[in-house]
Amino acid sequence: MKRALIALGILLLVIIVPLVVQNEYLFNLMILICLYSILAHSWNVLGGFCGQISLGHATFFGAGALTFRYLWLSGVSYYVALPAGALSALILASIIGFPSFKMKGHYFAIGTLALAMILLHTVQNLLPGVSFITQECLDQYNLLTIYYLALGVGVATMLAVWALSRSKIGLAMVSIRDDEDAAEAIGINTFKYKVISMSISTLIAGFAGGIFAFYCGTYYYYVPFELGWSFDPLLIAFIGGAGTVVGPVVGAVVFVLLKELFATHLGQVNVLIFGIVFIIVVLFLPKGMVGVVTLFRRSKKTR
Amino acid sequence: MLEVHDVDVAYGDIQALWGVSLNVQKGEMVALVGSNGAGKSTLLRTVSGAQKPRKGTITVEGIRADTADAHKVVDLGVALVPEGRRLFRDMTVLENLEMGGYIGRARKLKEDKLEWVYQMFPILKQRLNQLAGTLSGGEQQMLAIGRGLMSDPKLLLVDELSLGLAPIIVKNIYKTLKEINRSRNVTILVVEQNVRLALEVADRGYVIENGRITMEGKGQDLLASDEIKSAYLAIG
Amino acid sequence: MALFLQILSYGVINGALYGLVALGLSLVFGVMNYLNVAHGALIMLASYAVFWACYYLKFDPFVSMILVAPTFFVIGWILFQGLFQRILRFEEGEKIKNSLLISFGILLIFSNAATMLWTADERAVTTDYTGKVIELLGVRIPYIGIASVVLAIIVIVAVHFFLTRTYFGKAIRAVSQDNEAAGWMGINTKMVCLVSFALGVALATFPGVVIALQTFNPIVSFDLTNKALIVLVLAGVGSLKGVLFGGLLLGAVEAVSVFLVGSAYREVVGLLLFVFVLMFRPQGLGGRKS
Repeated sequence: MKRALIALGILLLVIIVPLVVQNEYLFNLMILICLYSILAHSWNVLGGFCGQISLGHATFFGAGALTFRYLWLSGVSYYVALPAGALSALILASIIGFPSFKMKGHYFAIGTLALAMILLHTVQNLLPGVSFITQECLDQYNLLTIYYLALGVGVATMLAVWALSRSKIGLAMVSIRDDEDAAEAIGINTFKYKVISMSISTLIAGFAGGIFAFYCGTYYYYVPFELGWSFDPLLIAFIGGAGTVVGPVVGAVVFVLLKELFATHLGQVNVLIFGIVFIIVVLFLPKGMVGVVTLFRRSKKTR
Repeated sequence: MLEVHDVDVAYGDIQALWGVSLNVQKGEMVALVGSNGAGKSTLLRTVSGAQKPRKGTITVEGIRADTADAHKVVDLGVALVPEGRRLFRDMTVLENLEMGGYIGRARKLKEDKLEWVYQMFPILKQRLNQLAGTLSGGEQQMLAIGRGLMSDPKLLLVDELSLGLAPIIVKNIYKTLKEINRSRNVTILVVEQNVRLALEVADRGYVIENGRITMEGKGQDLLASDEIKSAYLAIG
Repeated sequence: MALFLQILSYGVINGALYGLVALGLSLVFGVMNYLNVAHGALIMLASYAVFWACYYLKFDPFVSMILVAPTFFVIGWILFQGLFQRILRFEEGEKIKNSLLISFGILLIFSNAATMLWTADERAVTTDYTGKVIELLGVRIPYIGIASVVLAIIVIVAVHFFLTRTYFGKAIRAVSQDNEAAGWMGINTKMVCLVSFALGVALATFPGVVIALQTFNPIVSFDLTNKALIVLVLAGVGSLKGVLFGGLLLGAVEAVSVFLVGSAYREVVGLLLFVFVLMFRPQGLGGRKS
């Protein structure tokens, strides 16, 4: 009960604060946090819950961005374009994502990475230019709108993942993560649940891509397909706590804030520091920050 | 030669051996028998250093073996012929034998040991350059034993050699083992599911059930005992 | 026709390079199931090492290998003892995953450290023979290309010799087939893993030399890791011959695609081949079915 109240409190805070504090810098930060937490959630559903480590999420992020951008610039309103983008990511997943389950274990990771690279190269060749924002769309552009959209999608995502974690489907996914052969042996159709997991995951990634395309004024078409968008959610989910509901959000907050801190002060070093942080997390904090908090809570209880 | 004293072994939370004690005197051939899952292989794995006991000690000629890594145990003069053979399938027969004689002092004796192995298992000499994975079951078992002999062991541990082999092949291999034991005075501890076969060749035997030693005695005496007869030999 | 042969010759030269690139990665993966995606960064660092050796010490790049290779062996030793040995105790699936993640962190760290230290400027080692070519059947083959192929052959033959004719080399093969059984032979498996890893890193020297003679900057780390992974998958686990053939296959496929559709999709073709093999023949063209 207490946790629900805290969550509600935080929610109210993030809804109301921007109305009061009209700080553009703050908006940008919060939009980024929402964006990254949505993308991290997307990776988490497939990787953290279902155990299928994908390095190909840039593809679905990019697909969502591309579709949204095309529709929005053509005059479709953004609240139609956004789900359309998500849907396009799902369709793409059904073409290249589901078949990639044929690659087992670590092959899946490098195979999805290869797929992401293929798409990146293809987009770079087919659409080498810049996506310019049109005048009508520029008129619609409002940081506050974008923020609330991102926040809305972010909260919806988190609720969906929370519901998933408590459902039978979620349970099946976790069992596949823990021991796929055992799960298969007790009768779970692992392929079916992996497909479900990837569907949800890519749908969310598509939403994230759409938000990116909405948020970024002008960018090269290939940017949302860049591999950073594959690696960042993985980093974030790990730092926050893979396989948890809150982890991606915590990780996103840490990620964006640290990035800001380092970028303004240290420039290039931030990627280096992330590399170090990442290694430390993998070696010593396999459950991420959420794990640290749980340990802390547990030690408090035993006292 | 080998002294196992009050050993407890567990895999994580699951305990496999409870207070197991046994000994093997120099020059003896001892059999440890019991049904599937009784803990026989666990004991050999522990003696050979692949598993560490939670409690108790294992000494080989007075030197502690339970604290040593597997490769150090080989230095002490203990060679394991593992359950399932565990040959290096993509390496040739000769290479497998060479790996058996990897440790320093065995390398010096390589030609000598090879001759001995060819004597005991002539078929191996004919298959020297064949990949171990292409041999028949019986040949693989012979190679596994030959490989164990290459390190010039004082104590040879043989884990479930009868698994998957035709009875006549198993009988012949046990005859050869007895020969190895007699002619070169190599102490042998065999672990077997086939109770009759093992107790027929062994000098002494131990019976293990559910991780505990339940009986001990001379091979022939055990074979004749009523408990063994009814529990393992389906007689009476 | 001459154009086709020309492009094919470049395919062979590149293929030899790709084989060298994948060699260290394949060795380490075969022995202990570590997927070291930082291997590309290590090659990049080796290129820089060769570059500095040539610049400051005025060595010929191929001579500088004598200095660089042992240095990188030590670097590999330190990397393993300091970092990678911590995941030895995990079981197979976890080892691959954790080694992937950790080496990914290393990849980020090394490539960015290099950019910070040495800028993103492109470098190249030029020698007296850099521009020279030899004409054969109407095909122009650069001296450096020939040297690369010869180097690749020598290195791979040397590694093959090491693995099949020395006790330690055979111990390495034994450990990669059955770690536990190798221990029962008296082989110190931890030491074998350590030396294998250090050797894998030292092997980065050779593709490093070849890359140094072309142009390079810190970003090549990612490209090289890419190529190494593709060749690894084509070759299959535990197959040394496979590495050479895998490299040549990749080089040939790229060359043919350049001939047919131009160079824009050169990378894509290799990646498509990669995915195809992963899906339908994951044990690779030379590897054993595990």
